[in-house]
Amino acid sequence: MAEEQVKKQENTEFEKTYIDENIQSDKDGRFKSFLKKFLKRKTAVAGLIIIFLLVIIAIIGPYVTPYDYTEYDYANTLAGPSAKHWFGTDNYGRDILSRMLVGTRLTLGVALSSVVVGAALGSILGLLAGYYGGIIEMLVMRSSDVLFSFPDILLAIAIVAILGPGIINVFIAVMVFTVPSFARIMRSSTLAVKNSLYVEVAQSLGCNDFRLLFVHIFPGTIQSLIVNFTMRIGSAIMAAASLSFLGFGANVSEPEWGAMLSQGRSYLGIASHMVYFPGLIIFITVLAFNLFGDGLRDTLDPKIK
Amino acid sequence: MPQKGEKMKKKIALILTAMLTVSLAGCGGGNDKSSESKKDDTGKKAVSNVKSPDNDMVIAVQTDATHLDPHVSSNGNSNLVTNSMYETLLAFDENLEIQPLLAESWEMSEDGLSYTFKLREGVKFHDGEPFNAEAVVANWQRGKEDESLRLASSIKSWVNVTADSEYEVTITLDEPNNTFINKVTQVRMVSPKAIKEKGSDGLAKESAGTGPFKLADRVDGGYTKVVPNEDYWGEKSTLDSLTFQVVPEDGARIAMLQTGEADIIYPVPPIQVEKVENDKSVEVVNLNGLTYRYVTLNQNYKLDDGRQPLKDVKVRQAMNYAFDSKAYCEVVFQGYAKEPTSLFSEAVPYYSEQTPYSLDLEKAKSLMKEAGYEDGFPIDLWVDNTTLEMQGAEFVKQQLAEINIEVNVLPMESTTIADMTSAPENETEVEMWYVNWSPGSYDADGCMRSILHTEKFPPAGYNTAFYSNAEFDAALDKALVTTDEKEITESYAKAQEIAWEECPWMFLGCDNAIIGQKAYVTGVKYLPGGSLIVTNAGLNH
Repeated sequence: MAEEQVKKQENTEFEKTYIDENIQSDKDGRFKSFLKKFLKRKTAVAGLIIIFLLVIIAIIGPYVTPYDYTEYDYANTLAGPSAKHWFGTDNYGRDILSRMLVGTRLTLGVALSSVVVGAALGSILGLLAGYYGGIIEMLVMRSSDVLFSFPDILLAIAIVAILGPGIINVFIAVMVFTVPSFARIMRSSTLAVKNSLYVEVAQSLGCNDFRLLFVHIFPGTIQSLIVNFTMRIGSAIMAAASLSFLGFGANVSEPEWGAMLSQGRSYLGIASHMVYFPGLIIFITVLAFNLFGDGLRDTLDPKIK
Repeated sequence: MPQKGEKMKKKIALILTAMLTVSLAGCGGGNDKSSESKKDDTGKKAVSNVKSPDNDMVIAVQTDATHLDPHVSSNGNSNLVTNSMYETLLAFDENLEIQPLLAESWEMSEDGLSYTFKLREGVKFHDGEPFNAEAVVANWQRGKEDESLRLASSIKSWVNVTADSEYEVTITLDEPNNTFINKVTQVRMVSPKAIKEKGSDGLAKESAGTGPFKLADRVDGGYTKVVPNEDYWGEKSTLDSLTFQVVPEDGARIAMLQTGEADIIYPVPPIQVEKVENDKSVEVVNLNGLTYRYVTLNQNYKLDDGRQPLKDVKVRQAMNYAFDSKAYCEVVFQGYAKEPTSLFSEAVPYYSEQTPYSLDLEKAKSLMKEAGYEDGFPIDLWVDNTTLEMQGAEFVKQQLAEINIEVNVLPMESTTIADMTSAPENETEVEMWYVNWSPGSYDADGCMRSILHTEKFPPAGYNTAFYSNAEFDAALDKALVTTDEKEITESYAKAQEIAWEECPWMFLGCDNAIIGQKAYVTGVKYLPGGSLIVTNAGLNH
């Protein structure tokens, strides 16, 4: 008994000194080469910059608006872009720029939080499925297949139809359809990493399952996870905006981009700026996340030099 | 591989740039907005000489007729379609005057209890049966026997109908009723043989009326096509066919009118009017609306602390003073609406003008203060989840925010709302309901009773304000059984005055009915509220 304990301690020490240190010492170099490769991809860098700007707007947006986003002016409705109202005014005479600044937090918030939560849930399920196999794998993968059989947006509409409209329910809907894609990716990566040599070593050294899963296997799968994560944010923004556009999402009075787009749709013929700016920002945001995700994937792929 | 990728990216960049340029160009036209009033009457402009390419008229409407049996359905579009095939004893003309149709003349007895109609001779139903007094009796009997028919409510007060001779029929009422004549315009005559042998299902496939058109073809939810009736008693239609096409999407309807695929479209959304007006081949018909918009205020609404703000007439009045109906008409209906000056449209007889609750925030605030609600209260507002309705509800929310009333707009499916608002008083969850009402038979009673009379608390009617005023009820009831014109006018005026003062609703406005038609359309007559008379419709070709 005592002997075993000592052995285990030795093992852990060995792990720490050799394996961890090896990774650690390697990390700086790897990050540098990653950065070098990434910076070469101009579109990806542009995407990153836009994302960075959007996040800043999301944080400070509500405090820098030129007007109160609910302030109406019935004498000045549907006015086009001008020096006073850069993005024009909507059908109630509200300043579109102010509404979009406030709406950034709302739109990005829903998309980001739903993907973060969905990714966390999906990754854990995928890890467990890939590592343990058997009944867990079957349960997780088959239920993912069921969810996969519906197109994303249809699934989201179905969920919102059951739960009722509202921004929280959009969050839940987007989260639910995010889970299976992460579960599937994580499972396959886990299967690949599980059989690699360093995992076998760690296992033979007596690591427990938890440590094995989250310290050894998880870092090995993170590449594919990150790429999927950034790509998913793009589609989450689209989904959330689509739901709001269809009237399932944000309340009509909220400045969510999709809701603004929906509101402007009926004025397309006479005041195209009402759809132009929200549409453009959704387009740019999704594009930015996709370009960034693309670049990230290419950079992390060892097959592409 | 990487090289190919580079090329692809360059291509994508090019496409994106092109898209940006195009959309930026499109943006330039955004700020032209005509401000002069374009409100009344038909669009007048140089009419082009374009002729119709064919002799088939197409009318594009928003929703389908619910049933082609004219005794079953009652909604506006069902009436529009069935009116082309079925006729009534009397009918409204475009000035809302009652005109004889299948009856040539009529007389009321002195006690106001019976009406004798002299019928038109030589009229035949589509199935060859003659139209006579017996046919009128058979139609009445159908309504008596089947309570579920819409017809049943139109003939509810008819105690007896007797055929005095082949072309003379007398209708007896249980008590005098000043809306009787209005209701007669809703009773469409169907061949007695068809009623007996075919029933509703048969009538959906084959028409059996006396009207100028016969049913040719129908696809549920798609279109209804009718062709001229060769044996029509009046002037026969010159058209080859007439099709009522269902086109729910606003933009698609507009496009159909512009390309000539449709000859008439109804309705034209207010924001599209300008666009259509620029088209020389199109005329815009702007009719006085019958659709009266209001927000019901459930007087039983309780706050968490047990107070009932809407019980206080001052709060209800304050809400009306805080509401800028002028801006409402401009913002939501682009000016194609009228500010409310009573409980219903001025197009309806017995309308009596009231002093409008013009926007007066100071007064609204002081009323709220007097009532002890200067800090306002939260409240839910139910609304149909269609674009126009939600825009209106949003507007109400903005206005009430000025007096600290915090409105939570809850858009819902129309069927869900219909369900939830039919709950009885002790169960209902309705607080405020953004809704509209339009009377089918153009009578003042129909404009008020179902939505304000105490006997019409849900589920019996739509009085979701749970407004109950004995004096108001008495005035309505009295008017109904009176035959003296002056007394009727006074009674209805009193009813309007009482309810206007008490504000069971927020009075919003009365939007116009806007119809678009090709310049080569002739002979179509329009009634306030958007009904069409197609008897003499023609195409200049």
